[in-house]
Amino acid sequence: MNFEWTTREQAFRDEIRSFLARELPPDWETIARHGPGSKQQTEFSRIFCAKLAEAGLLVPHWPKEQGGRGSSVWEHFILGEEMWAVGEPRGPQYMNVNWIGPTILRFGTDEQKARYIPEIAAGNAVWCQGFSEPSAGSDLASLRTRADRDGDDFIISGSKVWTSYAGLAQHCFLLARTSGNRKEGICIFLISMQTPGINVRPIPALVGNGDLHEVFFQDVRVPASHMLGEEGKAWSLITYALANERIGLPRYQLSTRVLGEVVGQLKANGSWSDDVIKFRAGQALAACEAARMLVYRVVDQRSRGLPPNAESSLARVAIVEADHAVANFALDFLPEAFSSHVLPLLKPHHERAIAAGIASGAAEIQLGIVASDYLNLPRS
Amino acid sequence: MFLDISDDQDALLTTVSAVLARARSRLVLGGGKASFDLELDGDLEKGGVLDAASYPEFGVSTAALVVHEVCRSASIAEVAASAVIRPLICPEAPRPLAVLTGDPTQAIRFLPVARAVLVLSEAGASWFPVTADDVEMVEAYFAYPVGRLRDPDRCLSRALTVTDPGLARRLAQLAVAAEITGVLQGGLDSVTAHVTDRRQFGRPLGTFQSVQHRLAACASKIAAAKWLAFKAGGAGATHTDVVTALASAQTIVDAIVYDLHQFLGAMGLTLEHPLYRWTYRAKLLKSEFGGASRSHRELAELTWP
Ligand SMILES: Cc1cc2nc3c(=O)[nH]c(=O)nc-3n(C[C@H](O)[C@H](O)[C@H](O)COP(=O)(O)OP(=O)(O)OC[C@H]3O[C@@H](n4cnc5c(N)ncnc54)[C@H](O)[C@@H]3O)c2cc1C
Repeated sequence: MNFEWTTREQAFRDEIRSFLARELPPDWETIARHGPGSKQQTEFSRIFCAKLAEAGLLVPHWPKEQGGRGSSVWEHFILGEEMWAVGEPRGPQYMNVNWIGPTILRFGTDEQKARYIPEIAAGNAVWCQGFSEPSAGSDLASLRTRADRDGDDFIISGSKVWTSYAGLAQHCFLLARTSGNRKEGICIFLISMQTPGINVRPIPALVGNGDLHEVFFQDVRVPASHMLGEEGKAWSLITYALANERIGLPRYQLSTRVLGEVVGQLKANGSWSDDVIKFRAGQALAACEAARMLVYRVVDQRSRGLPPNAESSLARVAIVEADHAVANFALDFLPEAFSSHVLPLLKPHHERAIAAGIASGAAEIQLGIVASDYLNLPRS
Repeated sequence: MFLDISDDQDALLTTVSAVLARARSRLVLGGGKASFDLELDGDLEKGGVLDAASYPEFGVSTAALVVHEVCRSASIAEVAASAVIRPLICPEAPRPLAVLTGDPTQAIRFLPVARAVLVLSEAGASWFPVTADDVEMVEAYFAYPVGRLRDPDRCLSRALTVTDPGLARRLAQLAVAAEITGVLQGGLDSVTAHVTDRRQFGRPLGTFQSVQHRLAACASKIAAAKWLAFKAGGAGATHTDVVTALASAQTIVDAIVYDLHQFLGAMGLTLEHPLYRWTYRAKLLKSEFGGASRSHRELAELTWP
């Protein structure tokens, strides 16, 4: 066992911190207040990610030929931690660099790579993820959006829901079905959101402005060359993509930061001498550290090339608890901060916390995976 | 970072497993609540596994790992203080080692089998040897042998001072954290096996989702606390790391102990099933050093002074 960062990893973290100190504008936190899917943050991400790209910090974990610098798994993760520590200024583009880009790099045709990768690596692309549907949430394999062959094209019909960033995205990483049921017959299409027949409806929500949408596909014609991977064989690609997504989110880093800021306010207003408040602050901090530790276990396994396993679900459960512990601490002892701008990251943190146990696989789904694959409990 | 068991640690754990397997084969249940496996205790000492903390290739993380593994067993030995504290603080003290953290007249776990007592107080740290004559047995409510010093002043008058009381306290906190994660894991192992075998309504209990989710939540909490304890023993670990580990371990006890007993049903309320050997250790450990509430406040004060 070894719990130390290497000098190289520490230097990499320092490099990111000095970049952030230099390039994150003073009004960033005001922008962040609008939430990760907001127009303000999406626009900001285009400027900020381009700068990250110039500094070699947008896709450092990608191969050199694709604009990366071949950074290690840990370095990639450190990048995520530092971004979350300041409220994730990459906005929607975290998806591009963490899993959409890598999935295209791994399974895309030369034409697809040439078309999408340079744009992602330059920090200038906004994608949305068209997975969930009205009747396919946790049970993603029950998705019904159709893709029917018509000559060299596919005609796509159906609808997606909860699609983050859809209102401003240029492209969609879309799942649709050409045949079969359940995991068979699903395909991935990389499509332009400008394609005729696509309609986006924003859904008013608790998770910040402009995050959730419904997306309707009415006879949307897409060239067959826009399919990623083989027809009907997308499930294993999705598994690959989501395994990459799972380590992308060091949420506890933002939680720890917000917790520290709340404590700062409680000290300033004279409440910090209250033992109950200290107890709850310690409890929330310990929950963040618990999540961090389990996430580090997953990252370490990944860095050693071990296949993904149920420990990422173990970590997800802890992450949800940490987010809620911090959010509830703030609500209990500093409610007035939610009605002012003293702590700009407080509300975006709260909005992320309430979604933590639902988005990208509900907490109960994670618990089910832990039960079957970690505890090896019998299946019903 | 390397968050896994190294080959050296694995070799050490093989020794530990062999010793524990022998202990398991002679385990007898159904007696009184407290127990102590003198042979297991001696085997651990002879095997050298209790000294890992002082070896450069191992260190305190490995000691915490040994504690965790030994405490998973239903057989009880004095391992936490001997493996985590003694090698670095009082290697000359005989063992088993009992630890006194508060009022010298209080009941002390392991005292009836101890040959030395480590004293941690506001004033500093020290240790003194004990013999059977110094000790009065206390009727056991928890799964540990518990005793009281007959004449605390006389014992304390022969105490030898320890040079780094701060380190002694930190190691003692870490030892409790690792002990808690071990006993909870032992209980979880046992209940997982039970719900896999036991059938009701025509199916194994472990196929019911309400059972699965609660055990899965237990697993996540224990895994996190365990790795926090290992981390707190690592090179460069701080007092904050130690208190984080202790607070995390203590805070999860209540909910996990409840679930473990719940899923074992009436069987878990008997002395014929070993569950109490884990839960009735956890119930005492959770109050050490003032308990989860105190530990969390200590963490808050260290983090935001
Ligand atoms: C903020 C946010 C952003 C999102 N962004 C996107 C996006 O960009 N693209 C996209 O495709 N999707 C997105 N989603 C959708 C997300 O993937 C789904 O919400 C998620 O998969 C759960 O599906 P559902 O909401 O339909 O809940 P359901 O599947 O209906 O489940 C509801 C609840 O039932 C319980 N439950 C369900 N199944 C089980 C089970 N097997 N065992 C026990 N309990 C169960 C869980 O508690 C679950 O929370 C987003 C969601 C949120 C909250």
